[in-house]
Amino acid sequence: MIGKYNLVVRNKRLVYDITLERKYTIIRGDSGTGKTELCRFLSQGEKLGVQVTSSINYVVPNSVDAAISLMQNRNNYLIVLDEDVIFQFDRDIFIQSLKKSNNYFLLVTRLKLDELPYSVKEIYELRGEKYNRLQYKNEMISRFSESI
Amino acid sequence: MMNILNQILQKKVVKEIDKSELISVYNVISPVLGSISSYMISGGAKTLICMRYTDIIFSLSQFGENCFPILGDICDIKDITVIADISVLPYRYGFHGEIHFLDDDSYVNDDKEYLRKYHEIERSLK
Repeated sequence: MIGKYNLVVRNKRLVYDITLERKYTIIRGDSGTGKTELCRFLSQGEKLGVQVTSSINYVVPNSVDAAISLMQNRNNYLIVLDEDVIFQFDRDIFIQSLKKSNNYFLLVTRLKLDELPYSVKEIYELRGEKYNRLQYKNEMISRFSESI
Repeated sequence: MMNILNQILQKKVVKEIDKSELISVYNVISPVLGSISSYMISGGAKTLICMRYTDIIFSLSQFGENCFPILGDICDIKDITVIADISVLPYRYGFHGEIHFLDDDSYVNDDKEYLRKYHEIERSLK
């Protein structure tokens, strides 16, 4: 990945501020922190009254076939995969498809993906805090950078 | 579904995992998202509720670390079976109870023993 890409997702009550630095970025963490909600906001966007500002084109496939097709036919896109979709994949096909693809990936999963060459610094969890009187801000906090 | 959602455990799950309030079968009040439908509660909360009332075997990767205390509460009521597909520290995050590895019929009571056994079985399966 050349440089950094920013992704800001905003609605009336919630702000997500995400910075991507490498090909694979992984989000895991506690239940109920807004991981699936982020995918829903990105995939349905305006329908949910959400404003997305992104410096990279992105897609959120909701099935295995759609994901494989997008991985093969797009270049330099950000492909966001929620754990619902990742669970449906055959593991070997999933790993091979990701490795061959010329796109960037935001993976929402707690699964171990030892076969992928991702950095421990790119494993994040979402942590929300009150941003102002009306909004919560959800930022990605690296899980392991402090111990390196 | 109506009976299931009105129980104390379900209110506790929604309160502690999602920090929200279960108002009725169809309505949950979230401090962040406002009024939402009950099908929009988190995957971890849904899995805990299903686990309490069914014998379906779920995998551990569906639970965040904040689910372990309530998983312990459910274990006080009934035995549950999960697929240990990720390496976790259940006792550190509030799980209470005994873990029985069905692979080799052994029991563990703390994280150190749990991780040792988990990796031992994982290596033997490769």
